[in-house]
Amino acid sequence: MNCKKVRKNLIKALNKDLNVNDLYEFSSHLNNCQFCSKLYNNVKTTLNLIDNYELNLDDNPYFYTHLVASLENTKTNNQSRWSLKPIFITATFALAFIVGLVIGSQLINSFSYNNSISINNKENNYLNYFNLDIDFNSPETILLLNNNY
Amino acid sequence: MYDESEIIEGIKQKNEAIFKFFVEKWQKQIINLCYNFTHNLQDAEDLAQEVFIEVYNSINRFKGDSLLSTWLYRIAVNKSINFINRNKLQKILNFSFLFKEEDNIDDNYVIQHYDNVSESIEQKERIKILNKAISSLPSQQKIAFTLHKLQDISYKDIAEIMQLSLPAVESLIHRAKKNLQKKLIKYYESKL
Repeated sequence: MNCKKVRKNLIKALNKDLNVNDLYEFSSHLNNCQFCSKLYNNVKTTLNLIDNYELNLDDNPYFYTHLVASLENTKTNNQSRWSLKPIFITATFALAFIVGLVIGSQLINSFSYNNSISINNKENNYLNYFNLDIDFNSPETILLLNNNY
Repeated sequence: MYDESEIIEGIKQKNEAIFKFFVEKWQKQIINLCYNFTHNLQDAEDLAQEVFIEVYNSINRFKGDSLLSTWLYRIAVNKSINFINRNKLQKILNFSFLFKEEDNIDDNYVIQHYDNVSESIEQKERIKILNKAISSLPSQQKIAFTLHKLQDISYKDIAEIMQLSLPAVESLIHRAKKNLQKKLIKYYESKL
């Protein structure tokens, strides 16, 4: 087995999935190659830590006292939030009402303005249409022109 | 001593003695669990506090489909994962990924059976590498692996905590183990 093959079989070796022949070749390579041997030992030692893992956290004697204080805090916060709730709701409704009024009045204004514009436009169109046949010269000019003055 | 139903009823009725009993019974396991995700004692204790506050405030939402401890672990896992995600987001927002920062990992609480100082230092280094490798696992694999290998919780209980099927949990732990081996091989290969 060369280094490349050993590294390919490293996971199998760690999980003891190598057959007898491969295991023999693997072991004999490790005995002769310090790099592969170091790599294998490092990975194996680090993974073995998981099996011996044991936490030894110091007991905090004030944990429950802190917890009760935090609970009291959250209660007070919730209460103050609830006490402000009616004011907040009223203010929101008032604001929504005012915004509604402003938007509504704007809409009505723009609607009546548009209507007046469209009526004016229509009138202008009619006028333009009729104006095609209307002579804009005053009657006096026409008379003068007709009499070749 | 109170049994499970008494504890649930007691917390529902905001009975302080029962709540104290419940907290003292589970405090160590929950702090340990949070610590295994955060690797910082202060953060772990803060998270554990949040967990018990949530239990106290939301006990009425506990339907009793599972054990109270399973529900407690579920809350602790969710809080820990949220904490990790929040921290990641904070790091992104602070652009701290641009600077090489020292990790805020404190591994002094892992029991080490070594009298020799240099061996102990080496072990600490290995624990750091191992924790980093576990932290870099995909979220679901990390949760399942941590609960099983570090908290010693059975596959069946993990399935209930994570609300997954038993084969799904087995598969997650198997993949986590394989990924961890690959990550460690890659790390130590780069150090050769």
